[in-house]
Amino acid sequence: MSALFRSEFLKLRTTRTAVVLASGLFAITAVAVAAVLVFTADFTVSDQADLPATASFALLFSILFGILVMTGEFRHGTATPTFLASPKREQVLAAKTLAAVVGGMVLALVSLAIVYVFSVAWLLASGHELHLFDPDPLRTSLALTAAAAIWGALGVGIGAVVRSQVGAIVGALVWFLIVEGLVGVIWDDVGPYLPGAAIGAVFDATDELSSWGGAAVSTGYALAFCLAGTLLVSRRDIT
Amino acid sequence: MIEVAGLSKRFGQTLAVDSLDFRVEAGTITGFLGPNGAGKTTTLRVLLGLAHPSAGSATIMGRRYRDLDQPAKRVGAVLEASNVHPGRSGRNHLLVLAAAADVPASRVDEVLALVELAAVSRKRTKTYSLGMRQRLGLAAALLGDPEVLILDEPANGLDPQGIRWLRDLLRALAAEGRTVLVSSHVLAEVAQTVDEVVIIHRGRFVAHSTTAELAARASSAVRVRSPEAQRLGELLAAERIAVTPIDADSLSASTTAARIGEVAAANGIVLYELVTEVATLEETFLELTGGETVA
Repeated sequence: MSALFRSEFLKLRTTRTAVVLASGLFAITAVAVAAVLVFTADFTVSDQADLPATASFALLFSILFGILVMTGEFRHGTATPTFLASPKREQVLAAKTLAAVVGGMVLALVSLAIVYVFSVAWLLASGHELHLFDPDPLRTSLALTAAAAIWGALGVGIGAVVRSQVGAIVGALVWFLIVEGLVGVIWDDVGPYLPGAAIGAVFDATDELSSWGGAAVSTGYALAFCLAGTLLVSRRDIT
Repeated sequence: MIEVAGLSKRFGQTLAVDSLDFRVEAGTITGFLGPNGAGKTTTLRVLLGLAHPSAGSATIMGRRYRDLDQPAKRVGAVLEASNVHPGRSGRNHLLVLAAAADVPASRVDEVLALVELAAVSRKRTKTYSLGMRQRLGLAAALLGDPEVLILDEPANGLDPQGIRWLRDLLRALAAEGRTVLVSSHVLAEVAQTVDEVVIIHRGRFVAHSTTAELAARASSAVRVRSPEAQRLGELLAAERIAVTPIDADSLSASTTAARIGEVAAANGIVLYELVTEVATLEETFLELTGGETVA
């Protein structure tokens, strides 16, 4: 199993995919936090507690990362050598899930680091008192990192179920950007428990879901997709 | 060593492999032959655990591939040459597989040297020719120093020099006592390399013999030209000799020239031409598989 994880980690280091994805995320995060800092007039304790959430672009990128980790094997036909090297497919998927969990956490942590560096510099330069290291913003940062880890795993599950790289990415984006909102409007009692709402609750609790509740529901989605994906990948022929 | 028993594989309406049975003994090089679409690749993919059989089984050393302990160290396989990430270097491709198979990274440079790819190993594989990708696939198969090698059309994309190189490599690997199963749709590609051939056609077993037996089986036919070709044909057919008319005054018969001469003389038939035609190995193969070898 550790051999498989090493192999997955090496896969990530030896193509440009991960670097390109991470660079895109970090650029977006830098622009977003800069905009928030420039357009915020005052920095109250609660304003500062909201700043770490600016790093939440990391969530969508974590799910994309997970999808790429899985679907890349099908897109480039590398599933064949991968499953020849280790024919126990469920172990390969477990290693991929672990890689995506770690990857999601790294994406979140670096995004948070960008937010913190920009914010601290700005606050100090503009003579504000620092409340970024109060328990609340730190808890938000921790929760956001956990959420990114969960969504990395969810991405692998989605990729394993869908297999097509374009299909999985487009499907995920359409769901989170359009469909989930519509479903939430039509059935307002399920809305708060849908994947996008649940992951938000992890670092920004809602009336329906606490942080832990959001984490539990999100982990449920990730587990469901990973289990279904493992079953499907194990049963289907590799072509 | 390799045993395929009652193997069937169905894709929707198509029965790609139909109750196939054959065995490959340890230490032999066996050619796995059949026209394109005969079911060779499907059979090999089932054997390697990539596809699930609809019925029957395919085992290596008595076990399914996925049930072997450290399979990549016991069985090496070359399937499609395009199964590499275009943005990854050949060396990194092998390092990734070596890590997964728990093979030391130092082995990567050994196999790169063996397949003569060391010079380009740090270039991204999208710059590789098909022949280079075939070699990379072969390098991947050899990573675990396996005792069994399974190769699907490894000569595809190789130039004549490359085919010769491959032939020498396979011979060298077999000389070390390894078992090799190599598929091809062209008998000539492997005829000089293999000890035995397994021939399939339309998913069904056709023949399993040594290359020498196959050559001996090569049926010889005699071409006859005579003004009374039709009558001669009827007389030969009455002697239970297979006759194929060629045109109005000539025919081909599966017998010896002497026998035809005797029949003609006994019936007072004039012969203009009597030619013995020995079929080549390739023609025998074509005959066995219904002549469908065109790619």
